[in-house]
Amino acid sequence: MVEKTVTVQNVSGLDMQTAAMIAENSGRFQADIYLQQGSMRANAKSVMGVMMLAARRGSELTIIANGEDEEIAMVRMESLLTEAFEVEVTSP
Amino acid sequence: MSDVFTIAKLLQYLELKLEALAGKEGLGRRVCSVQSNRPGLALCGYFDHFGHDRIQIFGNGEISYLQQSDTSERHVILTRFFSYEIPCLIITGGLTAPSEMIDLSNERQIPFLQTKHDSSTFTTLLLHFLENEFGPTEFVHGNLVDVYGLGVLILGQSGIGKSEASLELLRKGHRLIADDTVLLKRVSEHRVFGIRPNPLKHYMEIRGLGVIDVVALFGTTAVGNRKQVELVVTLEQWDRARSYDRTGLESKPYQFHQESISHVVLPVAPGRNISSLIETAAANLWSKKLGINAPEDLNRALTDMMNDEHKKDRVEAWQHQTFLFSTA
Repeated sequence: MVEKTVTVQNVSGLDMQTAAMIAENSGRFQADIYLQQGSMRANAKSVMGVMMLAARRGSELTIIANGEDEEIAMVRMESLLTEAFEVEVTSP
Repeated sequence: MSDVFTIAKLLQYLELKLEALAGKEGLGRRVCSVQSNRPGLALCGYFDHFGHDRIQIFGNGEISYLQQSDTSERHVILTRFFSYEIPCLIITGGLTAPSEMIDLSNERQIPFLQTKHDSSTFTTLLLHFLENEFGPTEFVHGNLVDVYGLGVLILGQSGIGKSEASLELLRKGHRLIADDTVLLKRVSEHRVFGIRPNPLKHYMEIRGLGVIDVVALFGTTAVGNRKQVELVVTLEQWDRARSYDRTGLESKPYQFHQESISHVVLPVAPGRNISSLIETAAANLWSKKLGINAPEDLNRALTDMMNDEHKKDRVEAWQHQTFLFSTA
């Protein structure tokens, strides 16, 4: 199991689209991935779970990955949370 | 337009209550526009921008104007009017046509028709008929089911379970419009209709069961003949490499001749009850029409929570209270 605490850099925080992207990306790993903020722990593969954290830019989150590909999963999660990207919103 | 639409064909629509008065040699003339024209300005001598390629409607105004103008003036204007290539003239409300018009129609072989409808009713009916006739059509391989009053077009490869999903929807009390092949037609702006192209009864083919008679099994209320298509559901084999919509914030509409229709792509996999998902998709679309947009509402609530300075305290208080007072 690997663990790392990072600061959310994404401009709009973990809003719905960012949460969907995190869930989509972590779903590709075999390892269990969790995001923890204080007492709240969310399954990173669940959009609703990630949203529940209501983490905004500057919030500290702990990434916990456990499984065969935990190392690569950790690198991916870290870059997703710490890159200051802005999710492109395509209007319906 | 698929084939040539002539004035003769227009006369076949009994609802239009049309009758040919003159110019019958010209019944083969084509209708090229869904629009009709009230030629008031042309009759006053202003022929710039005269929409001569449209059906010309003569109502009370046009006829009484012609009647009050003096004979020579009327002759000049009508001669000029009839010098244009006009698909046809229609006099409404059972008005009496000036004899010059009858003569000129015969001479120029331009059909002159009359209708019992008044002008406004007639133009509305005519527009409806012409739009229906001119709208682009296409056959698609799929099923059309009326779910909660919304026409849902189910698409997907053969064997993916379109008919099975439709059968389950039927059993849940929804209505089958077409199985296997649907004829889509744009009938007016923003409206695409789907009809059952086959005049035979409602039969369905279910793999393993063979052909079933839907009316015999589920009754007459389980079937319909046409429905506006408001939602397109594409069924596809779950592809691990592909990402599916997880928020519902973004949607790529289904395109049918410049018309956009709401579209969802449903991956098929064990444990996913397709008919329930289609029902929910239809209910969701209906709620959106009523102004309830779940993803947007949730995203807004989430942003509010993010910006809440006392978020941590509130969340903890809420959890604490819920544990304390929960009875279930």
